[in-house]
Amino acid sequence: MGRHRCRHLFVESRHDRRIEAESGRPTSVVLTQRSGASIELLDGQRRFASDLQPDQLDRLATTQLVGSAYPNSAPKEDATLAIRRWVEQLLAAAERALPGASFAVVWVDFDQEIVARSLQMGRDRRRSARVRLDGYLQKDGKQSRASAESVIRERTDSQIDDLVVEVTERLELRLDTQTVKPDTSTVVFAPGVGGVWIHELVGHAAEGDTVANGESWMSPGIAFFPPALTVMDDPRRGRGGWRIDDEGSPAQPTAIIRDGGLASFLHSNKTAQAAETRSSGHGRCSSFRDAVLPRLGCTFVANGSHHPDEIMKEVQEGIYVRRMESAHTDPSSGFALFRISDADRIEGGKRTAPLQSHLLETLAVEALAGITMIGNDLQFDRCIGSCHRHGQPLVTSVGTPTICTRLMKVRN
Amino acid sequence: MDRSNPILTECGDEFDRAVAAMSHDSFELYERVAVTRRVELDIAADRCHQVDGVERGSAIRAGAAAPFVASSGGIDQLLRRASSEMLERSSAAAWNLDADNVVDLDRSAEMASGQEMESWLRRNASTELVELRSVWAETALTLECWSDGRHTQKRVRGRSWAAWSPREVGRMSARPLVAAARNWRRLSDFDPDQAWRERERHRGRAIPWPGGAAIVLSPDVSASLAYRLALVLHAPSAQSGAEVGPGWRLFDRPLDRTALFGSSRDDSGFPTSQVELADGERTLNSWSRRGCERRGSYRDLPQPSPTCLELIPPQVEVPSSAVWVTDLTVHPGAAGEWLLELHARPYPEGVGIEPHWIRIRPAAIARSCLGAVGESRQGMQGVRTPALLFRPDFG
Repeated sequence: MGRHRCRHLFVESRHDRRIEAESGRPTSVVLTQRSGASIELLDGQRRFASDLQPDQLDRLATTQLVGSAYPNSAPKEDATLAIRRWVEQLLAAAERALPGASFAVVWVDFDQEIVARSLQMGRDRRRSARVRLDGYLQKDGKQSRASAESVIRERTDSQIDDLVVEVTERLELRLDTQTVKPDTSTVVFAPGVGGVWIHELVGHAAEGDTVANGESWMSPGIAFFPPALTVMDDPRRGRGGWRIDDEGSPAQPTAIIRDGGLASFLHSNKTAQAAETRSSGHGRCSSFRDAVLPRLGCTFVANGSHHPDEIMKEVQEGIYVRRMESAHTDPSSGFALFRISDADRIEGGKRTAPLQSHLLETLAVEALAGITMIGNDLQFDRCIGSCHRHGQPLVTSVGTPTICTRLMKVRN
Repeated sequence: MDRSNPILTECGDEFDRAVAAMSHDSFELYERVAVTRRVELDIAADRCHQVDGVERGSAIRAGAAAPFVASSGGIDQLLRRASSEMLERSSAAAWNLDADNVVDLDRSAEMASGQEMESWLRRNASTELVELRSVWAETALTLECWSDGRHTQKRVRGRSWAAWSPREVGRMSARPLVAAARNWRRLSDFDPDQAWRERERHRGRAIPWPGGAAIVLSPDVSASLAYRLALVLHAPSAQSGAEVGPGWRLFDRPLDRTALFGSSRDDSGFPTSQVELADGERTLNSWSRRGCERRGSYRDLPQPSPTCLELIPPQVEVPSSAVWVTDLTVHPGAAGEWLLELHARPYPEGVGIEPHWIRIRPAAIARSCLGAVGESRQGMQGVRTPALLFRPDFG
C-alpha cells in the first residue's frame, strides 16, 4: 500500500459472536463475519465495498493503489462450543442459587483487525468479550429485576459465582423497593458506575467535531470544575480498546479536564486539522460503510483522595447509584438524563432501602460544580453498554472511583 | 429478471447455483446485496460529498439448535465458514417456505444519479424557519434471495431517505428531520418547510403547561409513539379485547406497495397479509404472525415485528384549549409504566411551553386517543398516521 492517491483508506475484517441462553429456551448462537474496505479520494468522495480482493482496491479508487491484503483475523471456531457450555453453566448456577426465579445470559464478543492509512499507516487488532446475567423474580405478589455484567478476559468459575451472587442478592432485596420523591438530591455513584455519568456530561462535549461546530457546552476559558477533578480518555484501556485508530493514528491518552481546568479535546485527523492541532487517535468508524468521527474510548475520572467510607459518612440523605441502564445528553446545553435501574437510599451515612427505578437529570455545569468528594477506589467497566453516535454504535469503556455530587434532579 | 444494476443480476444467479449445489436437505439460506449512493451537502462550505458503496452478505441456519452463521462476501465464503461452525447440527428445519418460486420485483425501484441528488438537495436546503448544518439524501437498491432447498424466492426493492440537520437547538427540535420513501421520485412529496413548522416549539419565553389542555401529537411524534405502543399493546403476549379510544384504529398493511417496508413477502420469505389490530373500541389482533419477520441486515436473525402500521382514525375538532406536541420521549419506568417527557407549544400556535412529564401506563394512552387532526404522513419506521388528538394528560 505504498503508492496511492487517496486521502484515507480503511480495511477491516471482523468476527462477532453472540450467545443467548434463557431459562426454558434453547440456546441461540449467532456468528457473523464481515470484511470490507473504504476509500476517500482527494476530492472528498468516498467509496466502500464488502469483501474486495486486494487487487480490486484500485478499482475502488479508480487510481493505482499497490496492494494490501485484508487483515487476517482468524475466527476461533473451537471456542464457540466452550463458550456456549460456560454460558449454560452460568445459567444453571443462577437457577440453582435462586429456584423460582428466571434468568437470561447474553454473551457478546468480537475480534476485529484493521489496516488504516491517512496521514500515517497503522494496523490494529481489537478484541472484547462481555457477559450479562439478567434475573427476574416474582414472589408473594411482588416482582423484581436485577442484572450484573462482566468483562471477560478468561472464563472462570469464580466469575460465574460473582455474577450469580450479585444478581440473586439484588433480586431478593429488590422485592421491597421504595419510591423516590421527585426532588433535588445528593447522589453517590458506586465505583465504576459514575463513568457513564462522566462519559455523557464531559466526554461527548469534548468530541472535536461537536466543539468545532460550536455545539459543546465546554469552551476554552471555562474554569469552575472542582480542583480535584481530572477526567481522561485513554482509548488503549478498557474492553475493546484500540492502539491505532481508524485513520492509522496512534491512540493518545488525553486529559479533558486536568486538576479542575479544561485541558484538551478529542480529535480525528479532520477535526485536528480544523483546530490546528494533531489527532489524538480518537477517529473511529463503526464499519467500513461509515464515516470516521471523533469518538470516546475509555473515559474515566482519576482517583481522588477520599476513602469511599468517608464519602458515605458525609451524606445524611441521598441516593447511592449501583446501576444505570441508559443515558442521553445534549452536548450543547450540557443537559443529561440517566435511567437508574438499581439504587439504594442513603440515610445518616448508610445505605438503607433499595429504590424503584427512576430518572436522574442534570446540567453538566451544575453537576460538576456540585462534586464534593472523589474516592480513591477507581474501577473500570462496571457498565458495559455501547455508545451510539450519528447512528454508529461503538464499544466504549468508562471508569470512576466512588464520587459524590449534589444537585441531581430526580424524576419518577 | 429485469434488474437495474448488473451486480444484482450477477449475485442472484450465483445464489441459484449455490442452492443447487447444497448437499443438506434442511437449511435456510439468505443473501442480500445492497447498492447505495449517499450525497451530503455541507451548507457552510457549500460542498457536496458523495459516498457510493456496495455490501454483499449471506447467512445460513440449519435448525433452531444450530448456530446462525452470517458472512460478508459470496455464498462460497459463507459455506466454508459455516461448515466449520456447525457444531451441533439439528435435523429440525427452522425454515419452510410454503410457496413456489417467487420473484418480487419492485419495478419503480431505481438509483438516482449523483448529479440528480445534488440538484435535489440544493433545491431543498434552504428554509427561513431554521438554520441548517447539513442535508443528505441516500438511495439504495437491494436484492434479497431466500431458499430452503426446495423453493427459492427473490426480491428487489428500492428505498430513499433524506435528512436535514438543524444547527440551532432550543427554538426547534434538535432531531434531524427525516423523509423516507420507496422510490426516489416520491421524496419530492415531502415538504420540509411544513415539517419544520410542525416542529417549531419556542418563540420567546416559555409558559407553564396549561392544565386541562387536550394534547395533539404532530404526525412524526404520533408515528413514533404509535410504533412503541403497538409493540406493547399488540404484542404476542398481550390479550386481545382491551379497551381503546375511538382514534385507535390501527392496521398492519404490508401489501401497500407505497409503504416503506411493504412487500408481498416478509424478510423471511413468507407471504404477508393485512391485519386489523384495533377498531377504535377494542384491541383485536397481534402483529405477530407468520409473514411479519424483519431483519436489520444479513447479519441479524429475522425477528417478528410490526411492518407497515397505519392509523386511520376519524377526523375530529380540536378543543379551544390544546397543546401541539413537537417532541415526546418515552422513558421506561417501574412496573411497566412509562414516564413521558413532552415538549409543546399552544395549538395552533403561540409561545413555547415548559417541558411536561406524565407518568402513565401504555394502555391508558391508547384509551385516550380521540381521532385525527389533518392528513396522514409516512414516518421513519414506516408508520403512516395523521396528527392525533388525545384527552388532557392522556387521561
